[in-house]
Amino acid sequence: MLRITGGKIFDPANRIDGEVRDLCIADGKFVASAEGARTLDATGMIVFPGGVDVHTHVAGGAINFARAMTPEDHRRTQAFIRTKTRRSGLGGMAPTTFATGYLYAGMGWTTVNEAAVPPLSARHTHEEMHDIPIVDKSSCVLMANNEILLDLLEKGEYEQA
Amino acid sequence: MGGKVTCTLGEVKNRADFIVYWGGNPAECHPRHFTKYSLMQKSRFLPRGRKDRTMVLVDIRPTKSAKAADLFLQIRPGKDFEVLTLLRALMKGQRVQESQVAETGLTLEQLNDLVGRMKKARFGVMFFGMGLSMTRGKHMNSAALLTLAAEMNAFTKFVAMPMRGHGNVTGADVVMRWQTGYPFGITFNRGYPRYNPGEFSTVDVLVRGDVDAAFIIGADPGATMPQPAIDHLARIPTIVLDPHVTHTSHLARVHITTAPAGIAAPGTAYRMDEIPLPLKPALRSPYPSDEEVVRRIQDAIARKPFWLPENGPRIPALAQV
Repeated sequence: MLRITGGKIFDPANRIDGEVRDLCIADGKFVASAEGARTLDATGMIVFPGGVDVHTHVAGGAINFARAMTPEDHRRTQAFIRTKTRRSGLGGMAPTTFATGYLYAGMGWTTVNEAAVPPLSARHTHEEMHDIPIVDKSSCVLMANNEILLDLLEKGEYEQA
Repeated sequence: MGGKVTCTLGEVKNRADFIVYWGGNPAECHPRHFTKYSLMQKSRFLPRGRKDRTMVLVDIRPTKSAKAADLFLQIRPGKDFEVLTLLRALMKGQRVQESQVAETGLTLEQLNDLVGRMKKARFGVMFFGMGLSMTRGKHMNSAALLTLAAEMNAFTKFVAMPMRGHGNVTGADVVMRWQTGYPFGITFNRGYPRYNPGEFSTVDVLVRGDVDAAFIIGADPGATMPQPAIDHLARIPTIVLDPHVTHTSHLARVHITTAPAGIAAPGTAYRMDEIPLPLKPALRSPYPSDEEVVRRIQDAIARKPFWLPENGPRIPALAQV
């Protein structure tokens, strides 16, 4: 059992728009009250359902190119030191994969979607997503400027395209 | 100006009508490069293949690759940076001094001819090898060439790409980047990745005697590194994973024979343009893969008591400058 107190709650599905109230959880469900529950003080914080970032660029060739181009940013950014339960990494404008998972989880996100994956380098994107902890990952295949697809569209072979 | 203007080898195959190899010998070091990607392929925008392309080789001596070149420019050893800088100046119509040209081993006519050809290209690519990046000037040479390629985009499409080799070196580079932010020359001695080539690169930590053990996978530093680095490898416990017995194996305490990746072990290799290629083994090997050996060593280490503080501090971001 868990009680989260004092947080400002946002839950669009239930039309709760920034009310300060307590949340009680028992057996994995929200309940009206939870006597004797462990209490988390969320005063001054926002409480909302797990965030889903539908359009990110967190894994694959493009972000990895960006990492290569910004060593000076890595040097001055937040560093994650390795512990028993945490891999080391770096935050900043192009965070490393492990840090990406920790940073998203820290903001309350549970799911991230890499929005542009060319089929040619999809394998690379999957390998990077394997190294992003905690959050769920998905990706969209990018076909808009794929030559094979454009050729098929030009020929009117829409089904195959 | 910095950065890197690049592309995949598919773009080279389909579009590059002007190809420069600088300080590299693909005919002998990348024997499939001409035929698969750069010179010979007939392709979408270059239907006549080799006839639609111009190839220039820049090197300090005529190698086998010179036979394949339309134009071979022999420059004086160690003058790559000077030639690149002169080309950048001439490209922009700036004046250069005769003495500056004379020390490169080329004439002003040759340099102007090259600039003219580069500007007339529809899609130019510059491949550079270790003859550029590992000789006098080192990374400054690479930076000069990358800058030349970037600046050429004021006139026509131009890209640059290093001619990487030595197995899956690009893969190592790519994985280190997504896990640590840096490609190589990384230390974890403060619990998080820090980068400084020349300080934390393998040769440097070995020569200074900073490391007290070495774990080497699929590389043979005993054959290629400077003697003081090799001497230190022989002093400390060195463990080698390799399908073959190498020079390094002979000075190592432990050699573990592994299945050759791509032949008898599956996985992913990264092509020099960072495109991932699946490896499908054709043969079976009695030996374990590198991955299996590393996993078993890691499992054994995980059973030992943890040696870092339970809740290490976070290092906050510095004030943005």
